[in-house]
Amino acid sequence: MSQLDPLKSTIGGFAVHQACTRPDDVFCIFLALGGAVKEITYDELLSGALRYARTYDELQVPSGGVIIIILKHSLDLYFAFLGAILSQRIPSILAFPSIKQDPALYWRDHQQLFCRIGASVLVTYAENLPIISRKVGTLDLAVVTPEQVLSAEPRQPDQGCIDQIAFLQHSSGTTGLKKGVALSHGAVLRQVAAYNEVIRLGDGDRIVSWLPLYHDMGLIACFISPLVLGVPIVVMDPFEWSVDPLMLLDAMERYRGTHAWLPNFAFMHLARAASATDRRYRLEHVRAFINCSEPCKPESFDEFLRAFGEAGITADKLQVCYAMAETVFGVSQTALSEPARSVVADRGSLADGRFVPCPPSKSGRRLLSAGAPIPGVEVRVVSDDGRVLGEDEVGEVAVRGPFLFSGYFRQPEETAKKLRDGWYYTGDLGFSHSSECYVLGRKDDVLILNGRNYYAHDIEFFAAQVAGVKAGRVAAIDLFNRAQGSQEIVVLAETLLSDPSCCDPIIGAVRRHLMSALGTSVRVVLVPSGWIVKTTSGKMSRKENARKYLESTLPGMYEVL
Amino acid sequence: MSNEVVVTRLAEIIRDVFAVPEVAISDTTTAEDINGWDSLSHVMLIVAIEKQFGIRLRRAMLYELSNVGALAELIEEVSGGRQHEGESPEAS
Repeated sequence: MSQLDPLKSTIGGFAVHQACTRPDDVFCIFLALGGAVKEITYDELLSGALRYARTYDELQVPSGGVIIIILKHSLDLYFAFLGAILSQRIPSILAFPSIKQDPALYWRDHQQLFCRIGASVLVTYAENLPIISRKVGTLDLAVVTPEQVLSAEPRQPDQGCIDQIAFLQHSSGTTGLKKGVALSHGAVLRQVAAYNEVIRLGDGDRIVSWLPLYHDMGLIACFISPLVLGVPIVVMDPFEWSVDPLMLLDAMERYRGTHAWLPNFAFMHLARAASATDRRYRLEHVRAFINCSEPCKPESFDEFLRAFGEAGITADKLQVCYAMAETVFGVSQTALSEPARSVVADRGSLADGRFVPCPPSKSGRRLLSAGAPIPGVEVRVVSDDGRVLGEDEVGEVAVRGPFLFSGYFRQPEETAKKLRDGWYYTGDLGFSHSSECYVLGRKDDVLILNGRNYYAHDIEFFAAQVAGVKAGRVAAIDLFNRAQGSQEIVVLAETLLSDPSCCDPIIGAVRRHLMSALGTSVRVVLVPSGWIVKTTSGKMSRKENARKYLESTLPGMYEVL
Repeated sequence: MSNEVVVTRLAEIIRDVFAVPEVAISDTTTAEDINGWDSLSHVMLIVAIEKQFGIRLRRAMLYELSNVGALAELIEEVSGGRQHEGESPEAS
């Protein structure tokens, strides 16, 4: 840990401190496509950031102005973000569109977001500008391109104040309505300090990550926290990682990486990729793979251990974290010294709202603990009518602590819905058992896929736009596909066509449209007219539709609550 | 191997990997046409192709290929090149 006190300084203060005390130490090793490796020191990180800061000055971006960063995973992403912080502007990184997303739709939706939050600057590539001006018209903000920054002289850093908003983390959902989770320097640094009391990163540690920076796990665990703590990182592009997952383990081996944070699906993705190669890894030096941001499955750990046991991965190296942007990052974390705990729950009792251990004669549902709350965090479980529930009772998880967000940026009404009497209501369902948190899924209609959240009604809305799908007769649900070993979004859609042989093109059309509009891949199941279950008041019951769909699938195909 | 033969073999592999036995597949089929085929499961398809055709493909570029026909062309190119020059398969 650096000598600076995280409870008194700012993120900018730490960036400057690292550049002064260890200027020539490598902070970030960036693995680019085709095997190219770029290294930057703390000093280079600071000067790269201060070039962006100068460019923002030249555009007369006001203090507190919002700077939107839409770049591929690259060193410029780190520079542009930190440059905003070091000049008292508020950066926010948004996902770069995948090649399969419709650029016109993407930029039109983002234009709405830029307007609503009053963004001052967009940092993106020059090649995006023609399509923006053609499809969106003139953006009411200044544009900065990485090329433009090259010639800028680094300016003096401005470290800012502890209570100021440091940056925004945008949630998922319809782009125009995305909520910007506003986080102060103080909240971020108190989180880093508290989380590190459990993780204990220090000398000799090195984090390896493929995670995107628009997500809390990539931004906090694999950029801000390592920067504050002076722990080097090895990073790669998420798109490249998804097609060549083993590059993460190559990097962990080659650079002696000690920690990686991964969503649950990534454990499966790595295990599967390994099963198809003869490559043998030496990973004895790894301290922890931490499963975070999706419901964590013991089956995924089993699979990972089978694939990498020989490489030196043991059960005590597979850990679980429960985290969210609204608490900066971690809420709870399993102890790194022992295997994550798990329980086997009686399925019927869980459905009735209570954890009861499953008798040995029955097959229950295995659940992984997400560990004990990290220092300073209080977790409680509440019922729908606001009662605080006891141990083992299932309800909504609410959290309180010294690093809660300052609110949703410019959305006081949304903030008031979720932040009440100092407690943040997470929308996650779970229970507490032996002082540890167990998280089961979502209370609302948020669907989780590959660590990202989607709103069911967004998916249904776009699916219903496709010709051949009956409007208002679509249900989007998420299920854990046991055969695939991963979470899957299933779109149940009623079709007007009676001839099933004509239906394949509709499946493709819905999948293509959702990929283009939301960048997400779903399973489309066409059902006959009248299949979708609605309540008498005409409301969609996703739970009922999920139950009905499960009855029609092969037993054991999906994990059932 | 002609392109047609490659597409037919490829179609069988796709049906098998994504468990869609009934689906019609042609050279204009894309990932979005097939339930279960996404950027992650794509790795499994590549592994199956490598096994079936006895070739090695560069993974990073493959998900960008626009359709089954383009994928078949690449397979043809890689396996053809190997036969002509007798080179060992190229590692990704």
